[in-house]
Amino acid sequence: MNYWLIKSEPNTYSWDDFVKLKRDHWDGVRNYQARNNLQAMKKGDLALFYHSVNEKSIVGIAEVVKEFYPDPTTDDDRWVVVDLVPKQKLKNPVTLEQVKSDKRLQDMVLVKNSRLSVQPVRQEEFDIVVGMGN
Amino acid sequence: MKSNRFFTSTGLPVRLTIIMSLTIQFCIAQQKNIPMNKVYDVIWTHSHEEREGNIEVYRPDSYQFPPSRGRRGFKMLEDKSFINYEIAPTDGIVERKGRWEKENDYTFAVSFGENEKNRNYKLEFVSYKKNRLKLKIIQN
Repeated sequence: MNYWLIKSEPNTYSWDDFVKLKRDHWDGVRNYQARNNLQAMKKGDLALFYHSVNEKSIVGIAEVVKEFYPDPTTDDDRWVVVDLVPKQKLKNPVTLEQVKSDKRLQDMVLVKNSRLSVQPVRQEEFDIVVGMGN
Repeated sequence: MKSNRFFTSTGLPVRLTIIMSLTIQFCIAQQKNIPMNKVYDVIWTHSHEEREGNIEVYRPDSYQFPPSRGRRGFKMLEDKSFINYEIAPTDGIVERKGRWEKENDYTFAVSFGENEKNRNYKLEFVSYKKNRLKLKIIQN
């Protein structure tokens, strides 16, 4: 199993929106590196759900339930989506500040390239973040 | 016995056939009646949930859309300037400025300058009704 981090602006699409929908495709990715990460996702992989912009915190865990397919919101065949379901809301959101200040998480892509909207996460990093949030 | 004066070759009364024909023509004219004064200066935002095949639906950005991780859009100004709103590589929305030219009553060529010719496209308006603009995007 692989682990990921997916970013969303909470004022346009929040964890609560995602929970209400119960299942959704992860669309709107227009960056090649992020697109490649979507294409690498496998069914059963888990992703940390990150609220960007003002909140800057990891708020939940999503599960990949369908691997990549063409983004239905555009005719541009360069872009893809995966289907996700909400798996668990973190009891305490883990802030970017907390992540940055934890020496064990210094190599997280979130720390080194925080603007990438879909990024890989190592299993030990995933476990540490989930431990901090629960 | 039916007379040819009052019935068409299909057997329908001539008057009925004329009324049906006029009604169909009226409906087509109504459907294509795009009030450009209501199109200008509005940020038309893609309502991808309402897509009908190759016909896309756009609504003003004040419309209460369902949550989405990004919606593209455009704005046409009467002075022929044009703004494309695109989902940015770093998420969020990026504006791309261009120009539009009328090709016919319903088709508009949109261009973005010499270095961005590959981004040019055509907008073919299909209908406008109650702040719901249907159109086709034709890639060059």
